[in-house]
Amino acid sequence: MPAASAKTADDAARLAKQFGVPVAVKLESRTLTHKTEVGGVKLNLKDDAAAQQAFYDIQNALKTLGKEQEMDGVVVQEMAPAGVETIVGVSLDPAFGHLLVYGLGGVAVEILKDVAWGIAPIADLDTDRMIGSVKGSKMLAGFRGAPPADVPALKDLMLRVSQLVCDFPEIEEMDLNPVRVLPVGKGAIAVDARIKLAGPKKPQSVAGAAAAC
Amino acid sequence: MLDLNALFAPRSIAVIGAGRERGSVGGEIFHNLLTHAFTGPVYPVNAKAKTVQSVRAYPSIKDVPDEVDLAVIVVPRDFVQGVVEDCGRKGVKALIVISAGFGETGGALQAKLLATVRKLGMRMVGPNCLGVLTTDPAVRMDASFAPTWPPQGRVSFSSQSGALGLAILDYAKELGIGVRNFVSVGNKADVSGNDLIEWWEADPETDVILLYLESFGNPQKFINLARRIAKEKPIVAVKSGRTAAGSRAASSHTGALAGEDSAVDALFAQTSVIRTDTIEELFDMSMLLANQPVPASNRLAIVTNAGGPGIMATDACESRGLVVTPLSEATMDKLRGFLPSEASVKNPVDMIVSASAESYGKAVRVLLEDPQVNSLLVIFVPPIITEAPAVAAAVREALATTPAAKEKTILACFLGTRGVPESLVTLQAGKVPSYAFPEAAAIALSRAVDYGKWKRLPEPVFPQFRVEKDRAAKAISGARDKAISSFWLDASGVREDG
Repeated sequence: MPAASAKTADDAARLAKQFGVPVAVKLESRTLTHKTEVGGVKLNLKDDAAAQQAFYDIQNALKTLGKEQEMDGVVVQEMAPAGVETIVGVSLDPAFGHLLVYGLGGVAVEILKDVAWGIAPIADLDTDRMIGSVKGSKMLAGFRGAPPADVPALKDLMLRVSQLVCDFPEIEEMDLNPVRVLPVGKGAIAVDARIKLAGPKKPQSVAGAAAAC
Repeated sequence: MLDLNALFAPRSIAVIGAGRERGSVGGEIFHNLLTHAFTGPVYPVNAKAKTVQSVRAYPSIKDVPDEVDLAVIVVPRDFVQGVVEDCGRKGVKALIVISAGFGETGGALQAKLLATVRKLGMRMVGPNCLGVLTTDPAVRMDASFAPTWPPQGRVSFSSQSGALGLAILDYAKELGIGVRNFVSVGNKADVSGNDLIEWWEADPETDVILLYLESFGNPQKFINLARRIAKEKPIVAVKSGRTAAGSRAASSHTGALAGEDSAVDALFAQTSVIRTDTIEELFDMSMLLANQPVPASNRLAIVTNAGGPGIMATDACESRGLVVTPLSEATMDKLRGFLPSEASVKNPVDMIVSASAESYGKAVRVLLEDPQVNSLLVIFVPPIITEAPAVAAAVREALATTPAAKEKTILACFLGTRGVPESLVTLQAGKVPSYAFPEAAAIALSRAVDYGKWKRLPEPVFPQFRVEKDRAAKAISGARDKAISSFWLDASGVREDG
């Protein structure tokens, strides 16, 4: 998924043209985790003017909340194709090390808590278990006429995240949310990603990234 | 693996701080070692007494004239360090330190003690533990102040709570669960739960490992060990207490989702350690695993003499993923051959209240011979006309004479029966675990089925993807250097923002 940061509305418009519409424009902030809640996510923008307008809208929304200082810019991103939205994430436990989470629920994931955990490194069998123990995973089989989702690609992504945090133990937290699981053979895309690193000094936040597997 | 021979099979024991009177900890431990007839000599060490419970006492471990393999230390905290140093010089190989007051979280005193123990080449259980017990007839050691000597058996048990552990020994006896080793691990300064499960893995006399856990010293090691051991021997654990994960402020969705128990849940799921919610379930589980084979599938048959409990059992089983399987025509024909027309020959088989002990025997035989059936739950509600002991005897007889019984998992539920009435003694002798209510049997069976399913899985594979680690490293260090940056993960690894 091509994506890039834009510091100004004009940059956002230029990137939209470069990537080809439709695009998504999302708030880039080191401090605000929940972008949707602050009006920081604009999807399915049909042209560069709309991308430009989205920048201003996000800026105004934050202004209304008195949080404009927390805006570092926006990320302009090609719209991901339709799929089943899942979350894959990492949390660091002081005793157990890196914990991987997989679940469903999109923005409601924290309420539904329909998730399963694994301790890194996870094995192939753990991805089966984690996916199998989440109720919402039935949606991956094809729901209401949707084609079955690319579960092997999802498993692959989970195993790669496991490898990543083993290679880079300084990763303290990570959200790939949502990970959109496309129809069989089409892969799984991390539409949004946040990684928190344990600093040599103070942990920093790396926001607004995307991944594709 | 640590050598724990001197702990579990010492040739001689000294009790340092052995009390003259019973009722004190040092008095009870010495008494228990004598009462249960430890097979080697036991030397009481007491600085103030010449005689302890009719046995000549020694003022110090140094004064004991013979070799001592194991010392049980029951002296006040401030004397422990000196006593341990003396033990080292004496050539003692293993220590059980009952004495408490070491900060219980591992303060400086405990660190010093551990350093001494290691330097002198000893192994130590504790401090702050309630002792060690082994029923091995060649040893017969009750180096604890447990009031109960459990029946000899093949279940080994490590408890992080000493008091609970001792109460549990009592319960094990009541249920007729045979114990091999019991260890109260205390502060786990030296010998840890991981060391014990590794020891029991290699112990040919241990079939089932039970753990009462409050914390994990080294979770990653536990995962690696348990993954390997559980393929051969079931590990059943009950975990109390909470991990610290939930107490941190979370700045991500994942962090917010990380509940207090998610790490522990993952750990058990990943290793297929059978986790129970309560101590009672821990023992329900061990009754099953110590006596019966792990179920080959989730398909079971239920036979009962009362409709209600049959339905309760069916609901309890099906809600936990067990299948009360349809019986073959041949099986149902055989059942019709001896059951009244009012009986139901469909699974759950309801033989109605008039069912005799003989009908139970026949039904058990017929159901076990049905190839669709991998487990059998025998429910009996005591009516007036049929006696429970007769039914238990008929079930036991049927199992002994049906070859198919050996590969199948059999449980009983003699409704409301607790303790060890005659019928349960009969069932225990026939190695049939018996539960007071159908739900408990269903829970234990479903956990055993899940465990069996895990055992049949292939070995786990940890794939190593070819990734661009250098670029990921660069992106990470870049993110640290700059105030902000974005980067992507993709199939080939990590790519920096353009």
